[in-house]
Amino acid sequence: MSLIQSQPLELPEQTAAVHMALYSSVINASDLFQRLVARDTSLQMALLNAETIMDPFQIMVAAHRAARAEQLGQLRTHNVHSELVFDLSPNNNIREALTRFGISSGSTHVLAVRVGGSQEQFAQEIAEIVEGRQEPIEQLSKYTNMETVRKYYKVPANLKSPEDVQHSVIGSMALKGHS
Amino acid sequence: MAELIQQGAEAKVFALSFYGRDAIAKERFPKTYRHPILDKKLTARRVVQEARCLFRCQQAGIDTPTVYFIDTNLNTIYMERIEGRTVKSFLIEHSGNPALVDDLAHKIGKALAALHGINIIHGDLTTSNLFIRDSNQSLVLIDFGLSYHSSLIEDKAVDLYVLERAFLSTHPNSEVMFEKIVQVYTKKSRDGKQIFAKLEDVTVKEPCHK
Ligand SMILES: Nc1ncnc2c1ncn2[C@@H]1O[C@H](COP(=O)(O)OP(=O)(O)O)[C@@H](O)[C@H]1O
Repeated sequence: MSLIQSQPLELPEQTAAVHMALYSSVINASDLFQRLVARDTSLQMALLNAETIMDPFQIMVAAHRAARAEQLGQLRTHNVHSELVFDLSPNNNIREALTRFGISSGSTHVLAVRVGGSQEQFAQEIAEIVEGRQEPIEQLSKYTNMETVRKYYKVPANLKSPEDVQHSVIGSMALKGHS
Repeated sequence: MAELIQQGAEAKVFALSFYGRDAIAKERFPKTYRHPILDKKLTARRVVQEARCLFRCQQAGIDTPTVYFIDTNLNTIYMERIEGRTVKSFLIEHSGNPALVDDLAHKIGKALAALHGINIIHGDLTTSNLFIRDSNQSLVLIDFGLSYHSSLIEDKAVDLYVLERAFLSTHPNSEVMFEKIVQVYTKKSRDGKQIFAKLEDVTVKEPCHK
């Protein structure tokens, strides 16, 4: 049974699904990072620093925004996957978004996200790409670094409960570019 | 899948699910009698302003629906759907229970002081735009469709005045409750006393404007 979680996009006239695979103990992050920097087109996915993600909803919100921008021909970055990374960020600095939310050379917990295609295809590809231990997506919160999340999203100190923090994170993403 | 729950003059409100969460989609449409291009811009600006006010409240710890997504192309805000009931329906059921009413007045006064403390004027305070969350009985402010930023005492007083009118017209014998709200508000607000004085002013003057 696959540990990949798949969820369809909820956009009009768009039936693609979003597939997520979580890895711990990743040993080839540096290699993957180099491939991303070199714009290796065989990597049709977003490779994320799992520490910055609280739960799959956060990914779906970014994926929704990215897919919507693609649908309208309004991408700010190269493709829907880099856009997804960009849309995780609360500000408009593309480079910063990629370094903060994307995989870096030292990443050990990695969340791979593919927009579109089948789960089987993604499962096959990802198995050849990421060297690490695949985990069920439910384990994601175990790898979340709350301090990092608070810092990247500038969560006000008065918001303390995980629920309040999560709401603040989602709100910051939604208001990106509008505040 | 989306269920239309309100068709207003300026917005349609749908209940739907957004990636597994109960959500509301609020779609604004242009007022047709204005200039079409100007209209489009104004509508888009209102949508963003509403979302911005919601977000600023949330960041300040004021309970408001979380914004999930702004679709600028469709002038639609997707936001958290509050599982709860309106203050209006709560008061219709519990107006005879002083302890419950007093507790609620306290929550409302406190929330409005916090709202005005960050210089947001709600613009449409009614007992239908105040919710009580089922999960924790928290007071939630909704419908920021007419909200704006202002630090003026006068704007804050008018905001309270609008609520007072809503209270007195919808809920018989709610004078005591509204007084309690204002009392808590005045105590918790930076400019509470001045706003209260202005409110008295507005209230007294009002009949002449009719
Ligand atoms: N976030 C929400 N959670 C629950 N119900 C909501 C929410 N937003 C709106 N509603 C319901 O829809 C109605 C209309 O929404 P509102 O934002 O007040 O639109 P309008 O500005 O057109 O009056 C509200 O009175 C309320 O019953």
